[in-house]
Amino acid sequence: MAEKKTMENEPDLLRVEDLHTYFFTEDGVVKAVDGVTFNVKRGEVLGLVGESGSGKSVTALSVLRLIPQPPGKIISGDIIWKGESILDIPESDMRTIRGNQIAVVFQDPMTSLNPVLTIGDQIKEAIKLHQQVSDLEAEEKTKTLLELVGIPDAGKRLKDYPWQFSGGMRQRVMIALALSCNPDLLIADEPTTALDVTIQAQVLDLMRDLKERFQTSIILITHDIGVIAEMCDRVAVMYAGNIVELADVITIFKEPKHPYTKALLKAIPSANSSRDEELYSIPGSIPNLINPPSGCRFHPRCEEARPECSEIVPDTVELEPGHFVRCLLYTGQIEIMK
Amino acid sequence: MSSTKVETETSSEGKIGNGPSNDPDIVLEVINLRKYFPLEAGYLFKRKVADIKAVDGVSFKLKKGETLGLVGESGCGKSTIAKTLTFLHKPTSGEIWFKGRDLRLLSRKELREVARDLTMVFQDPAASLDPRFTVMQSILEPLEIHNLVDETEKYGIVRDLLLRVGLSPHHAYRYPHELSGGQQQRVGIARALTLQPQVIILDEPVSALDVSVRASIINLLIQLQDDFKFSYIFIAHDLSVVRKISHKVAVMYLGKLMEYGNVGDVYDDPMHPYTQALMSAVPIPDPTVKKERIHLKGEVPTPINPPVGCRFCTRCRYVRQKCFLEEPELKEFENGKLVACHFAEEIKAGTHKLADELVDAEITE
Repeated sequence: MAEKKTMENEPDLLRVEDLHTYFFTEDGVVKAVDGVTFNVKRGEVLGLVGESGSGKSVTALSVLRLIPQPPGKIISGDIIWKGESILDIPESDMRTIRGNQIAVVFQDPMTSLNPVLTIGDQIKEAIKLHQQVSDLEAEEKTKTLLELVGIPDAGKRLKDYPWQFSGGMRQRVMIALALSCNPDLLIADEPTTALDVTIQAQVLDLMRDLKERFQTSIILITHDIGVIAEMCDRVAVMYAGNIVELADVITIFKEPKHPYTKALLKAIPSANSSRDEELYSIPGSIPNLINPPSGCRFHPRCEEARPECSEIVPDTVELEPGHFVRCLLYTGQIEIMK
Repeated sequence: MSSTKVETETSSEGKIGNGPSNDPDIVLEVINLRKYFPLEAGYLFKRKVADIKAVDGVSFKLKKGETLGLVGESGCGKSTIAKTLTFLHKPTSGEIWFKGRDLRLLSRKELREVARDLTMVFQDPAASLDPRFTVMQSILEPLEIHNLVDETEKYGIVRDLLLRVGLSPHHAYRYPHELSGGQQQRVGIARALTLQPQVIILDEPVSALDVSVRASIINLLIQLQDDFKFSYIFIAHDLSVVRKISHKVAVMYLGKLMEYGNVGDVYDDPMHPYTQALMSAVPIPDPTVKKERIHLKGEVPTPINPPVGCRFCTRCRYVRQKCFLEEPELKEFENGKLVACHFAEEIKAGTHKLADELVDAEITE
């Protein structure tokens, strides 16, 4: 308990404030991320969950300032890394943060690794880019890293190319690469989606172990609600560019407040649901973000929608300490209107 | 000469809808199916250097109106089975009995006829629809191939099918890119229904879809099966989805069947060490449940040179010397469950020690 107190008092490692990232395409402006606020504390795992097109990955890329520009642009908002805004710092300074302090693991390890360089060379490159070490030291460190992520016979496998590794091994290499500079924050974008369940279990165990050993914070982006339940301390549920609910993992699963969170949890088949029970499905489909629905973006699909939901954009309210919801049922905005 | 011919004809006719097991409820029976892919070497003159044993002796029966779920990790041969059953791959050996005939012995023309009753739905709905075809053209294509198009009826057929899969008739004139992923998959299903098949093979039909859309497609598949008594072969790596839709489930590992049985029996009481590990690795969507996880070490061995004895022996936590030498047969247990493990009874009874415990015990002695 005492430990938790100190964690709470500590300043946030990362704060994202009212972030708006838009893409200016030929068809119109895609409001991919539209007012997202969250924070990440040291040593915690924050889950970003939502369907495709909800803005999870764009949020992560915005934090890294890797949004392709044009067409993308961070319109407004702020990203505070260790107490300082990193939105306007020069690209050269950003490069010392990216990879060094904030590392990232993407979904498909085959496309993130360079196919014509050996695994060893790729990890060494990252180490030498960010740290003043000799060739030999870098090689030693590479070997230790590969051993750390559980690659057998690491010394020999340094000289192998990515295609000589299996999917799970490649993802471990990606994690080793991400860890090469002891980052404070690891952003894992669907790290296990391309993997089998048994290999997924190994990779998740590895990430959990890293968090405990090095106090690395993790932003885990996934659409797999099971993975969220197992890994995360806090969860942010995203829908159409907004965070609709943010709370600790137990609250999200046991006392969800936002209708979308409730619907999402109902839509997954439970372990012992029988074949005859109809699975709950959310009517309609994900909105087009060029022309999102007015008011609350979820209202056309929401079971609990009121007439006012199509008119008023909901504010985010804190129901209990740490439990944020963006829904008119809780904000009191409807009553004020009346 | 002629008498033998008559004999074969009558015998096959007497067996319409079933294979050698002669059970009228069984629509599809697969016996000892093998599919090897040649591994070639050399630049100019390719020569075969080894076989990739993708499917290596799999047998199962599919009942009318039932779903068989095929689960296992990537490379275990699930999709190869699907493609072999639809003759996208020619099987290396083994028998596929469908409508009383062994498909391996049929001519191309006869196969084409059979293909009407055996259709497939693929994983990626966008890639499996022709981008230049309207939805109507896509749905009617199977009928055209089989020369069954009736000009006066075709609009009615398309309309009925679209309504059946939860789309509206105006979708008939849309192109695939104008539809969402869920709608595209509905078109893929409608297309599989066009010929009113008996067996539909579903290869990861919901893997590319979002959670909310996935639920509606699963509901649709169950609804269609209840209404039309289709038999499904359902392939997915998401174990909770397979549980939801299947009656029977077959667990595969490296081209072999490890465990087979009623879905509840296999999920709740897995007997094969591999099934146990697989089930324990599934993340539970409940943060308050902390379950005991069985850690599988290492990776799946290559199907070019699989282990000699039990396929799973390199990663099994109950492994014994026998497992490296002898290949286990499928043994039958209660409720028709089949398990391919030498020590299935002992493991179930709890008298079989873990391999690690055994080593520790030897050291202390």
